[in-house]
Amino acid sequence: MTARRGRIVAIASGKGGVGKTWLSITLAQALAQRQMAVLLVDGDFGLANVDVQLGLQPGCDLLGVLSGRTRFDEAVVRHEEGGFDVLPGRSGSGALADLPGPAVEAVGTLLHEATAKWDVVVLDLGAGLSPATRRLAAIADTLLVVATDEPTSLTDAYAVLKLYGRDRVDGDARIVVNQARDEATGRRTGVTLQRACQTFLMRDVPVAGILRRDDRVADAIRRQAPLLCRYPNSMAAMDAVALARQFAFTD
Amino acid sequence: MRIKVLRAATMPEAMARLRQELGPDAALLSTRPVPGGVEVTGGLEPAEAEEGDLLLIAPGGALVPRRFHFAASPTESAAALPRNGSAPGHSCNPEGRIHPRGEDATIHPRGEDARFHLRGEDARLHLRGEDARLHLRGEDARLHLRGEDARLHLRGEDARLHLRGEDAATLDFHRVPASLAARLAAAPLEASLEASLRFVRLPDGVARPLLLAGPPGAGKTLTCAKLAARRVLAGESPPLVVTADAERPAAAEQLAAFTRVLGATLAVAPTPAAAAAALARRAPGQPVLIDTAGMDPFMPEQARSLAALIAATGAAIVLVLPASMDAAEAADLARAFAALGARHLLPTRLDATRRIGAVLAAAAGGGLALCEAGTSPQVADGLTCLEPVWLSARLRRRSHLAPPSQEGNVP
Ligand SMILES: Nc1ncnc2c1ncn2[C@@H]1O[C@H](COP(=O)(O)OP(=O)(O)O)[C@@H](O)[C@H]1O
Ligand SMILES: [Mg+2]
Repeated sequence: MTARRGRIVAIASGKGGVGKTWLSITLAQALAQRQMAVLLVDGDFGLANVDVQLGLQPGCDLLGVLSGRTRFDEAVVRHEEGGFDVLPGRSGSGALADLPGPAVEAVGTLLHEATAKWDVVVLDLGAGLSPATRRLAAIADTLLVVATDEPTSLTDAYAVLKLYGRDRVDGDARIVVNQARDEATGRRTGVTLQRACQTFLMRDVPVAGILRRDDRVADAIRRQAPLLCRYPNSMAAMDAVALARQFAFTD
Repeated sequence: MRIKVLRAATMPEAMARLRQELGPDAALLSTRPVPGGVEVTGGLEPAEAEEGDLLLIAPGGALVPRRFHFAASPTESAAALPRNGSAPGHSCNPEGRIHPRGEDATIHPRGEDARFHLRGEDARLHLRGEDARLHLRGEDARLHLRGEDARLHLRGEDARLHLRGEDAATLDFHRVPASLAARLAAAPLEASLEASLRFVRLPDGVARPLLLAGPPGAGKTLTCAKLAARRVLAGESPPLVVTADAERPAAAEQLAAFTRVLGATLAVAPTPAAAAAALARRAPGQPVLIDTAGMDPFMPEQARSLAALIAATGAAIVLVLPASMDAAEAADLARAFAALGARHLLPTRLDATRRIGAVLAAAAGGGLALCEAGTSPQVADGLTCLEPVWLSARLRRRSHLAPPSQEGNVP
């Protein structure tokens, strides 16, 4: 029997508030529905809020694991309804500026170890590219860069793709457009960003998916329930399921 | 990458305007038909310089953000601010006079409600002599001198008026750490600030580049833009602006928006070597401002990278701290940045913070000289010269709101 080797999928963006955390949660559940063992990791140490969106009250967190206070398996919480596991980032309030280098490397090691047990590790990253975020993005097998229709989000996403391209010459980066007014507008945004990468970076970054703006998203977040539990037939839920379909990983 | 979305009647017209806005290297990224013509999205990736990762953004002039406008000119002077209200005047008994004379003449009103009132047409309190002192202590100590011609004369080499109550309460309001507050309350605030802290002019960045350092969100980038804008508004040539905050895409973009308007060159330098390369391009006598990424001086790795940048640029370090910080935390940070070489303190957000004890705590804790403060979100007139008189008035006012008709701004 060969050792199982799952994938690390990180979700990044230039700008904050584009929907990374929501997408990480929804993608985790959509992948779980495809019979994959999924671990969702909160890698936004500045504004860790996976637990908030899910209504979890974690006692332990990733920082506790790093400091040796908590064992890895103790810190992982099962989200029964969603069918996936969660490793909270930081259970207390307050923000951490950035993880120091050695701690980032330790997170990388943990994530790699996790791929022995889970098929997919979904990693929700902080906005922008702080040194720690940049390093974590480079560890991922696949980097989903989230943009919205706004020009500022586009230039920021481009900057993330540019740095990722430097860090990972062989990297697998993909564009996801979220909060799209409609499919066509979102597609155009994605293709605009894709063209910019082709023209200026000489790289082809495919558009992996378009997720439409949907009031049900905010509603589900307010109720601290995953969208796929609360509104499985909503537009955004269907778009997320379609995105997950691309991740038919086979070893 | 810079991006421009625009509409035109025809495609050739749209392309022409795109080139006009972004320059001849503009690339067409997308098109779509709209009523009456087309909408195009164009992009431009500014050329990167040869020196490693250094990126120079020359002022193009084309991309002036529409909402950007400069206020006319810096107004008012700090001296126009009220020095404080604990001023003169009262009278009680028409002929009330007290003349404590002699070597050691003293009046000590003590007790719960000790007061000393001099009222009357011509009430005067004269304290003369080598070591004349009037001490009013207590929570609510007051000296009232009212009347047409009320005066308080303190003559003599070393004459002092101590009003412990007011100033001590003021320092307490601002949460100034106790030991510092005790030191400052020993004399009138103006004098004690001047004696306990250093007030200097901010170096101009010519002899040595001026490097703005501080924790994330301190306001370094905005301060950098303010310093550059002030110079340009004064009719001087623009400084060279370097940003070492190359990790955060938005930071360079934000600064680029200002440097474009100011006609300044922005160098994006992700490494100390790139920053040094940028300095090599300055014109003779051109000042240099260096913006840096927010950092935690207690993290050895981050401290090392700041030290490397300082070593590569030979810069003078200005610590930028928000006035709203916890005073003890600010003092700790100031000590840590001072250990890395910071000598000046530039507090920000004085226009949005009532209790500003952090400013005093940081200056005293790190032995940092006070020079200027951020007192407005405006780029054009957002800095105020920090002087003992202004600062003590601001402390006593116990509010971030300017007194009526006095928007103290000093270039
Ligand atoms: N597809 C969508 N439709 C509508 N609102 C959305 C969508 N995706 C995200 N949002 C809104 O954006 C907000 C920010 O999302 P979040 O996941 O916290 O962003 P980030 O992690 O990128 O900072 C959420 O509160 C949610 O209401
Ligand atoms: Mg988030």
